[in-house]
Amino acid sequence: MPRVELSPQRYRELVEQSRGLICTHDLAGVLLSVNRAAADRLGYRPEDLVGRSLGDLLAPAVRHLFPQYLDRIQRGATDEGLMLVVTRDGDERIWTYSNVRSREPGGAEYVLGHAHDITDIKRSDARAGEAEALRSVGQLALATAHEINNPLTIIIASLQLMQTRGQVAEEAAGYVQRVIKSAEQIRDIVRNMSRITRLELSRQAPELPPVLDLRKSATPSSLPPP
Amino acid sequence: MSEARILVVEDETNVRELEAEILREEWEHVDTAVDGTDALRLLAEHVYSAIVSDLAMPKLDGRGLFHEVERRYPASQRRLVFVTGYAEAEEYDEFLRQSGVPVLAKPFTIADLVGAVQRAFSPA
Repeated sequence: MPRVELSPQRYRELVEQSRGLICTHDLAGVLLSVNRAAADRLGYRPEDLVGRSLGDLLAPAVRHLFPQYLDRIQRGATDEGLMLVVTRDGDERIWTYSNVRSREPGGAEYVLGHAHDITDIKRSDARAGEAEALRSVGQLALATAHEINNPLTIIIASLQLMQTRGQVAEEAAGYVQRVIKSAEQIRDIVRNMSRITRLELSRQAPELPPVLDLRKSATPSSLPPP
Repeated sequence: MSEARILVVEDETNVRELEAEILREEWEHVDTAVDGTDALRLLAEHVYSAIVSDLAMPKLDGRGLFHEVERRYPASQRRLVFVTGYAEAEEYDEFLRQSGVPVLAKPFTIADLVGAVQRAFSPA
């Protein structure tokens, strides 16, 4: 295979027209160049980004990790992983990067960065995970409904039968009514469990972990009333 | 008491006996069957004003019973009422929509059950 020598101009065009996200930065993290694809993805022009710190483009939640990245690339010459960047509009994007420390003959060291935006893939994976969780919750809800509804039927209808037959002593009437009300609450909870179509969490108290909110997660019954 | 005859089809003993007991408060003739196959045996012997059936049962479930009643006793098909704790199950959802059989969800109240049976006497 013949060796093809590319001129610096051709190299520049290759980088500029690449759909990959490419940049260079110095060892302090200051951007020296950014190709158009990377700048576009962030919502800037390339010239807006040159001279800024790459760390400024990271999402606030991970910005404190930037010095550790600089340390790794200075010691190890290469570094790769995931970075969470924030666009000009404030949208957070997940990039996978593979960066290499380099030096031009007679020049200063710099880092050549190459990245891909995998946000859509990650979000799709997250949606698939949530769909799987919903399926599991749905199966659990149906199994619970199946096991609970028969004994609940016995409790509610038996007590009502005792009431209609006048078999409940006057002093016990309040207790019986309370049991029926409570059983009806269990019935409503089980029905809501069977109608979970999304996972909505709520926090009962600041110190407690969030729990599944049955009312918000359930949709109204799709079946007509009997 | 009326001369109407009612059939209760339910595999869970406690539920079956309770449903029959509730309905006997209103109607004198209430028969019970433990599943769809048992129900077909009784349907061969009597004409029922209402058939109150569970959906999920061994041997012949409510769906199978519906199709057998449709085939053998088409006039009785409109007398069916399903009583089920599976009202939200996808497995039966499509069938229930297509069949148009009224569904009473467990747990029910006495008024729910009696009302559903009364409506089965004169289906729309």
